[in-house]
Parts: sequence; structure tokens; C-alpha cells
Amino acid sequence: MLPSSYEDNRIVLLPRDPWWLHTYWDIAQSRIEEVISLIPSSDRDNLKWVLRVYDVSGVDRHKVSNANNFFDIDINLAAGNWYINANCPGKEWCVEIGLKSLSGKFFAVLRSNVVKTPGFGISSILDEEWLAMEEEYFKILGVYDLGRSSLERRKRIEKFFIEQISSPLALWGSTQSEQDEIPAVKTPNK
Amino acid sequence: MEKGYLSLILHAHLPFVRHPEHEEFLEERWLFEAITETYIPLLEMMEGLANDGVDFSLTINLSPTLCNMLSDELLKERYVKYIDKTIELCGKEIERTRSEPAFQKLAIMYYNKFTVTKEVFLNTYQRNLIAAFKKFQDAGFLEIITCAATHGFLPLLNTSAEAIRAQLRVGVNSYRKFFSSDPRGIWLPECGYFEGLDKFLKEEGIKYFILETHGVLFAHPRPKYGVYSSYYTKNKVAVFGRDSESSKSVWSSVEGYPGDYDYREYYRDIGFDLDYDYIKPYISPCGKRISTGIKYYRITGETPHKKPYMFESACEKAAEHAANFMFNREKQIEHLHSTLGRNPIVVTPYDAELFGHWWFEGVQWLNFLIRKVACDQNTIKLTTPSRYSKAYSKNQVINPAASSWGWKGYSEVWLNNSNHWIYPHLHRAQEMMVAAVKNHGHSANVKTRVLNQMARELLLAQSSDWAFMMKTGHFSEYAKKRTTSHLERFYLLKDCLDRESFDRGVIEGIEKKDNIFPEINYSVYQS
Repeated sequence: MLPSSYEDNRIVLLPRDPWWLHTYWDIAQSRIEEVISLIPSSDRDNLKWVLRVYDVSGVDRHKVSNANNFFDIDINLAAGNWYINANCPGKEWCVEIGLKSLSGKFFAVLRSNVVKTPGFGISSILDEEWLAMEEEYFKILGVYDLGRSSLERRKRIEKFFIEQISSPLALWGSTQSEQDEIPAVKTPNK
Repeated sequence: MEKGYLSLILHAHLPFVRHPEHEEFLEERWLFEAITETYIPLLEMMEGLANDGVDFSLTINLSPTLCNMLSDELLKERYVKYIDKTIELCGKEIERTRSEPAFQKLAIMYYNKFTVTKEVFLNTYQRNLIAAFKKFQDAGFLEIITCAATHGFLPLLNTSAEAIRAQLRVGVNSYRKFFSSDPRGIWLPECGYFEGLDKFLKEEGIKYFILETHGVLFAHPRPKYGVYSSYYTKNKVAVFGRDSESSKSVWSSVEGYPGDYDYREYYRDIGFDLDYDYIKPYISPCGKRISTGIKYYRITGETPHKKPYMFESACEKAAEHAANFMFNREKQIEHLHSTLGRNPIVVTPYDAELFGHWWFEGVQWLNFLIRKVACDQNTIKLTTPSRYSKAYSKNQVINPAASSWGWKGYSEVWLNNSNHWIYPHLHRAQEMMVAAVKNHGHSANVKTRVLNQMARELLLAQSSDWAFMMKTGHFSEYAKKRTTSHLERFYLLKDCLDRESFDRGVIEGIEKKDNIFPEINYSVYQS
């Protein structure tokens, strides 16, 4: 049997895709008590658990005190993990799990590692030496009609890529039979 | 003169499945089926090409777990038993189908195919398929590349640098052992890339890797030639991106060739179709119906009423599809050649087991394609990433984007509600491994053995295959058990170290079960 809890006071952050993060945590009761003991007694009633998600992109030593901004998510501590919709590709993130008082004061219990969500979209940074014309560049990729306005252009390009990337978990043959068949080797999913 | 290059890359991988504690084990059949339907047919295809003087250039990744299984004596023995039993079943089938000529013809086809396969395995290759692949590498037709040790999905193991380094270094060392040379390229498991991985690849002497299309297209700065060139990362490792147009024609269930109505239907197998008592000796030891590899129907159409498979017309279709694929590549390469102002490379990676196992006619398609490219046109030339890199050594430097070739393009297949429970355990085990090496790494004798076995258990627990199976639901119980049991063995061994109490019987038992990477050295986890 694997341990259900390690009680080693940790919260770990993982990037799932350009828009979503995943975090899991494991907190010893003693650590929770320690933090609560430091909370002024006037704030101790009706504390709730939250995840504070910091955008620390480009911040010196990723200090959360200098974060570009943050948002809070109410959580169920017992869940042990959470999926966070950060909705911002190509940014660096850090989370703290902690207690929030009715008056809105936040008391951090643990802080995570820093991760970066994958960037999404064609880079606007161009190498002078390797410069290519926009229209010509997208022709290489098979996008011929870019549209007129820059907004339209951006939408078309993103749509193009989302379609390219979202390949379904496909199975060949006509229809997978009802029988309790299990494909050996790996189910093709590309 | 050619106007561009086509680089066909096959990724051959199976997770390490070997259960000496059982007489017969269902999941070991994955290897046996892949040997019969994919690996030996690919080798025979290459033999044929070489004998006919056809010049060709292919790239294949034989994953370290696969190589360890292909060289394992117990699994080789069991493979011979498996193929013998399949041949025996074919013999019965020839008799059973005597009044149905359409089926009897197929029963005879399978009988001959499996008999030849056995003969080739035992006599031509002397049970050594790795040497058979190596021969083609030594002859310059094939470039074999490596993979991470147990196909761990690196972006989700990246909570410790040592874990990444160990997956790569053990994979590279395993390659050296089997192929007596340094691997030039690596197939990143599931094309999983995170920013900074190139530095680890550089440290292991890797010269190039392959990414999914958007891993290159979304790089900074903008890659001038799309995915139709190689690039360098800032650590000077070459990177190639997958071409999605050519990949789709094979992969897609809608537009792809393998769904053609004349091709063999994968999901109709006599293991399910025939009378239970008749088929019982040839299915799972527990009595569960499974595939036998003997399939008599063609896809036919969107109907449950399948028609008998006709080998000749399926073969013609494979030739037609190969011609179509080549025609499209010629057009694509002509277009790219004129737009780019230099010879493009079209990189088309596929899971090797697609050919022959899933897509029965796939190896023939590949055979036709290679022959046609060699004889019927002048626009395209087959190449390997290494050869292309040699010819085009001046490349733009880019920072590739985090990506994978899994569903939705990132990490979701391996990180979702069905499998996220594994990461708290894996990440801690990674740290404990590093700590154990730090604390006990200078001692000799039994501790060395324990540390080495802990490394094997950790690596086996990290195989991305388990998380993948939990996600798809196929064999998910087995996958959970594998993850758990390797971690449990890891903890048991760690406990031995912590208590300085060593039961040699227990340690030997684990070593015998999980005997992958006999050459491993725990120092790969040194921080």
C-alpha cells in the first residue's frame, strides 16, 4: 500500500497546457495549527481555504510579493489537488495555499514551485537574419487567406492551430465492436 | 536533382512487461504480437529492399524498454511458445474452414505467414532481432535512435533535474550497450518537451530530437522555414518538427488510409467470433476472450455485416495509397522548394506498431512507398535527420515551445482525473532516490545492489504508458498495479537501506522480477 498522505508540507504546481495548471498539496496538521496560532484571534472565525495564484512572469527571483498580479480560488482542502484555469499562455506562475479571513486577509501555509504555461501562437519576435514576409510565411504553413484586420487574422491563425492540435483519440476500423475487446499494444491517438 | 527530402521516422516502443512469476501472462502478448505483426515484417521489408538493390534511408527509435525485452531469454522462449500455439490454431482453422473457400484461403495465408515468421525468428535472426536491426544501421540504410529509459513523460517528471537526467542517461547507456555506438538522435517520449530540456539533451551528447508541429511553429523567434527545416536550440542541439499534412493522411481516422474499406478489419478476430470451447485453448489463460491475430474480414463499410478479407485487393489498395502519398509529397515539396528557396525536409513520424499490427497492410504500404520514391520520381529523396543536418549545418537558433504529440497537444493525456494521483508518489520517490544516493552512495556491496534496484523500480514506475492506459481505460487496472507495485518495491528497498537490514532473498527476488537495465549504475541520480 502506498501512503495516502506524506504530511511533508508541500504544494507542487504543474503546467497542464497553455491555459491550465494542476496543483497538489500535502499539509501536516501541525503546520496548519502553527499558522492559525499566528492569526490574530479577531480573524480566526470562519477562515476558509484558498489557493492564491500569482503571475510572477519576469519577476526578480519570482518573489510573490512583487507578483504582477494574483487571484484567489476557494478550495476544499481535503481534495488534495486542484485544476486551475489560469487562461494565460506563456506566463510564469506560483501558488500559495492558505487561509483567508472574512475580512479578506490571507495567511499563507505553503508556497509552490514556479512553472511556466506553454506559449501559444506564432511568435511575433522576428530574427532579422532569417526574416520572412508574413503572407509568405503562412503560405508555408498552409494558411492562404489571412483575412484583412489584424483581429480577424489572429482569430484565423488560432483556429487553424487549435484544429491542427486537437486530434481526437481515434480508432480505426468501422466501429469498435461491442465485444469486450481490448486492443493490444497502444491505442493510436495521433 | 531532388528538390527536397522526406524523413520517415518510426517509433517502436512497448512498456516493459515481463512476469516470470506466472506461467503465462496476457500482457506479454503485446510484445509477441508486435514481433509477429510489425518488427519481423519491417525487417523482412528491409531485407527485400537491400536484396533488390533499392537505396533507402529510414529512421527508427527502438525504445530501451523494447530492446531489454527483445534481448530477454525468458521472453524469447515464451515468444516461440506463442507462435507455435498460433500456428497450431491456424492448422485447425484450415480444417474447420474446408467448406468455406474464402476463409480457408485466409487460414492458409496466416498459417504460411506465421510459419515463416517462426522460421525467420529462429534461424535467420537466431532470436536476436536487435542484431537484425543493427545490421541495417551498419549498412547505412537505417538510423536507430534512442528514447528516454522507460518512456517517462518528461514534462511531468520535471520536479527534479536528476529525474530527467536519469531517464535520458539510462536511455543513452542502454543504446550504447545494444548498438555499440552513441545515439545521434532521441525520440522524446510522446514528443514531450519543456523549455530547457535541450540543455539536458546536450549533456548526454544528443545531436537532435523531434517535436510535434507546434513545438517548432510556436518557438521564439519565429522559425523562418516553418517545420520544413532543422533548427538549433541555444544549446546547439538540432530540432525537427513533424509535418501535419503527411501525418494526417496516415493517422487520421477520417481522412487516413488505414480506414479504407478494402483493408483488414482489426476488430473482428476469431478469438471473439468462434465457439468458446473451440477457441478456449488459444485465448487468455483465465478464459477471457482476446485477439488471436487471426482476422478474416475487411472493413467493408459502416456496417456490422463484414465481408471476407481479400488479400490481393487490399494489396492493390496499399500500392494505390503509396502512390497517392508520394504524389502529394512531390507536390508539397515542389511548392515548398519554390517558396523557401532551399530544399525542405518533410518529417513524418509514426508509431511503428501502426504498421502491421493496427494497419495490417501498413508495412506493404511502406514498402511500396520506399520503392516508388527510389524508382518512380526525382523530386523527393529519403533522408534521416542526421544526414539532413550534415547537408544543412547553418540553421536559425530557436527556443522551441513546450508541447507533446498527445491528444490536445500538451500534457492532459498524462495529467487528468484518471491518473493525476501518481504524481505525488512519483515526485517524492524521485527526491528520495537522490537523497538515498547522497546518503549511501559511497558504500560498497549489498547497498550498491539495493540502490541500483531502487533506480530500476523508480524508472519503471515512471513509464508514461501506465498513465496513458489509465486515461484510455484499456488495461487501466494493470497500469495502476504496475505503478503501485514498482513504487512499493522502491519503498521496500529504501526501507532496507534506512534500517541497514538486508534480506538477500527479498532483494534477489525483486532483481529477478524487474531485471531491466542490468548495466544500470545508481550514480545517474547523483545531484
